Amino acid sequence: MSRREELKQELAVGVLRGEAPRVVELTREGLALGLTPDEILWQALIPGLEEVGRRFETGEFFVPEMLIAARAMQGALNIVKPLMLQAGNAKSLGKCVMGTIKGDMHDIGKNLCNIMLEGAGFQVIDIGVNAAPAKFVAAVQEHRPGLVGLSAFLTTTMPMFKVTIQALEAAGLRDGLKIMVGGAPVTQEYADKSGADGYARDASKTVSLAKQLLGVTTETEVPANLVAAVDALEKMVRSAREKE
Amino acid sequence: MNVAERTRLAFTRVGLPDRVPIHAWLGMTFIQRTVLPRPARMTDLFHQWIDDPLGTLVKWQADLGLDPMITTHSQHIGELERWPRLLCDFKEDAYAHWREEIVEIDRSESSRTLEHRIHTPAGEGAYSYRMEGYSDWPLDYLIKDEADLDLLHYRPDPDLLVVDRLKAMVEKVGDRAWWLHHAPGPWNEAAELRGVTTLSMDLYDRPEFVHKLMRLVTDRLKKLYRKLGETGIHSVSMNETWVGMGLSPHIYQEFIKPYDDECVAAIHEAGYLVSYHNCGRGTRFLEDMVATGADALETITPVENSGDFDLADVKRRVGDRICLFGGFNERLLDEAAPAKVRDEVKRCLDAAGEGGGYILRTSGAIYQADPRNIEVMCQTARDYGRYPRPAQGAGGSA
Repeated sequence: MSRREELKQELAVGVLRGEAPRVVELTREGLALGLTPDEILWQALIPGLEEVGRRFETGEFFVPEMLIAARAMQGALNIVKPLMLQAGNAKSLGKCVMGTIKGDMHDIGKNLCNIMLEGAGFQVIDIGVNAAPAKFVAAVQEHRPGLVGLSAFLTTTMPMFKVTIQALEAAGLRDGLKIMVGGAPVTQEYADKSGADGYARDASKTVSLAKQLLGVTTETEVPANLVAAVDALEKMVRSAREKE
Repeated sequence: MNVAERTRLAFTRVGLPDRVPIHAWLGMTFIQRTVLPRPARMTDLFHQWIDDPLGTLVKWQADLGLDPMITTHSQHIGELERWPRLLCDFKEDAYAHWREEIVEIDRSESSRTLEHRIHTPAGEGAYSYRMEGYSDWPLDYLIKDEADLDLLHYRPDPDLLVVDRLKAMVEKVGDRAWWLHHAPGPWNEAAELRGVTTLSMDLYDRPEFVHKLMRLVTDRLKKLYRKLGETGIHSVSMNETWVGMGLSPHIYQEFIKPYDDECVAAIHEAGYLVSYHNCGRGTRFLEDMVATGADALETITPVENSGDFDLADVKRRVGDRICLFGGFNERLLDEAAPAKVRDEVKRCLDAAGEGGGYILRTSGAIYQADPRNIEVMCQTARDYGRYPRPAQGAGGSA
């Protein structure tokens, strides 16, 4: 295997294991070796993050593991995204405005969703926490996204889903716009009652929901050798620890 | 059988009460909408509660058919609570080495942003939060790096807490309500000091730091729990909300459970009961939470209410070791037809009522509800929750 291929695999494994400094280092090495930002993103980082999502869904990963993987991914994105924009070849699966609704300052779930979406190839415009309906309206008017994501952590703030969706309708922005909602207390039933187009139970599900709502198909697959590579690395670490 | 006797039997599982106890936690927005006359200021309302708990908190709940439950709570760092400070605050000398300066750094029509600047012999620290409506939102946290841990040695000593008002209030109420004082558990307090996102990443980045923080927090909480033992409260709800954020059993066992165990033991030594509060997810380490030695487990939030607990499964797995305190989907109380509310009560009682050790309780606080639905919930539980229980499927008398 060439160093370039090896490096892509190590990058994916680095994201999976949440090794932020290592992922940054490998991203720089990959660029120096002549890998394009596009190759790094689509052939290394995204497969790594997709494996993170898969493990979260099967219960092998939990929120802390998602957080460190997302942080590692973000470190690499900070390097490759500007280069892609500069080269004018940034592929995007779609544009998404994300925010935590009015009255709610929690952002852990929204931030995870943002990274997962961005990592999956979406362009994310984050309007922050405690975002009033007017702020969502203004962001949609300015950025013309295909998708809006509303997040809530508190039972008390969830009614703002409906209010925000109604504000988007009143502003004449609802046609052709897909709206998804999520957050710890949210359920499918509540999402339906709010008038949303979709509900995602967690950050990992957000990506598949976003793709489904926008009708996009993925171009990446988790490389078959990735799981084996991670297992081998984990065995190595365990054996080194035992020797200590 | 009075309220406290009934709930105590369910908590301790030493015998069967006359019926399943029925509790709920009424949220501020619900109280504000339904309780008349409305006080001009929140502080006035709190003073009414402290001065006349029987004519206010106990009466409102009893009128709805509930077994009254009083939920006072201890002050958390990172938020400004008016109610706890009215009930118990520290003696002046507790602040000798922990001087707090509160500075307003922003103000809008509906909110204020405050920064607490802490001065201690170990150095300075700060945290900030925004106050809006009844809520306080942390914006940044006191423990920004490892050196800040030294500040924690100078936090006001729980031994210097003045608990006379709380004690007097407890005495006034006696056994006419169940007293559930809320106090943080160690993981929750650590999250409030460090921020839960950063703390979660610390588990991987600097595990020794997490243990140091948990040790400091636990040692102080044990003192707080011992002090609360002087007040005569029946029980404490050890708030480990952030345990329910989605942690692995391995993380729970290594970083949280040993400290939870110590806190539960301290509460028992202080002579009252402990309810373990996880209002999120946790079915994967259910047995571990029970193994802390807690007397009750709350809130057993069902999937329909975005938790991951199945009450019947929980009863099967741990019902012989702990009182189950929750499981009712309170969202039904807002708009659902009374028949649905009745069905939900019966679902809970059929799942967990058998053999005692169960308290019907809304899994979350009630912020929005039709009071008539609360009455339906209570009446159904009073009829269908009598011991000995009717044979399942017989339908009861509701």
